[in-house]
Amino acid sequence: MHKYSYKNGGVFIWFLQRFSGFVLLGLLLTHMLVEHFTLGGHELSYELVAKRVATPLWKIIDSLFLVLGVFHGLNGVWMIASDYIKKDWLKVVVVSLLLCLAGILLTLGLLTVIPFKA
Amino acid sequence: MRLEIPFTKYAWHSGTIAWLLHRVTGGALIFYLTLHVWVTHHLGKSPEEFDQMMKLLMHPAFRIGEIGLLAAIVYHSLNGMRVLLVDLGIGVRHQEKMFWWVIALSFVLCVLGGLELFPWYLLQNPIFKGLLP
Repeated sequence: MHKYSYKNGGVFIWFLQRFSGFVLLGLLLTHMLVEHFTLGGHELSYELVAKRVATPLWKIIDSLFLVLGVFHGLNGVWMIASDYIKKDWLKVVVVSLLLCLAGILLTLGLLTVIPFKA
Repeated sequence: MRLEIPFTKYAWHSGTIAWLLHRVTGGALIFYLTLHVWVTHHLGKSPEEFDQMMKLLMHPAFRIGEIGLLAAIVYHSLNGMRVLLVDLGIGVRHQEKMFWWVIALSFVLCVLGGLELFPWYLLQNPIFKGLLP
């Protein structure tokens, strides 16, 4: 029987990947309906976006969207990578790189959204 | 059965296509997420810089790229729901049929969205003169 390395990550992460995907779909539909079908359509401008991002509720929604998106995406990349990588040292390198990317995306994204004032 | 290196050790059936497409679209979406975070961070710089960014994104190359983005999102979402259902034990026997429904629905949504997103004004360019009614 082939030993899948991802199994070592535990069933909890497997569950989180499904759960975050499900929540992301809801957040994405909300995002699209509000940002592209109601507010701006093709033409988005600072004025339109700033008004929305400056409200506390949208800061929470956008932050959640970002955190779940980064987790779901980078965990997905790790799921793919761990299918092919056999060497332990390489796993450490890849996980470190993914965590760095997660750190950059979260820092840049959250620093844009949380302190924003219109 | 072993699923290891792409294109070497596994049989091609609908599940394989679904699995491969899910990974490819997922990778594309990570790339987009990175770009999106970078574009959006101009919001905190100045209104002028943000609007300049939005103007750049109106370029036909990005408008057409957005159709690809739509395709990736629609497929990844619909197939993700199929995966979730099958993992929950719902409709396991119909998973193949569900895959073809995913493909059909993705196609319809991408055509509808594509018609809306495509920069049709490009066709007014003189190079298309005579080619169109």
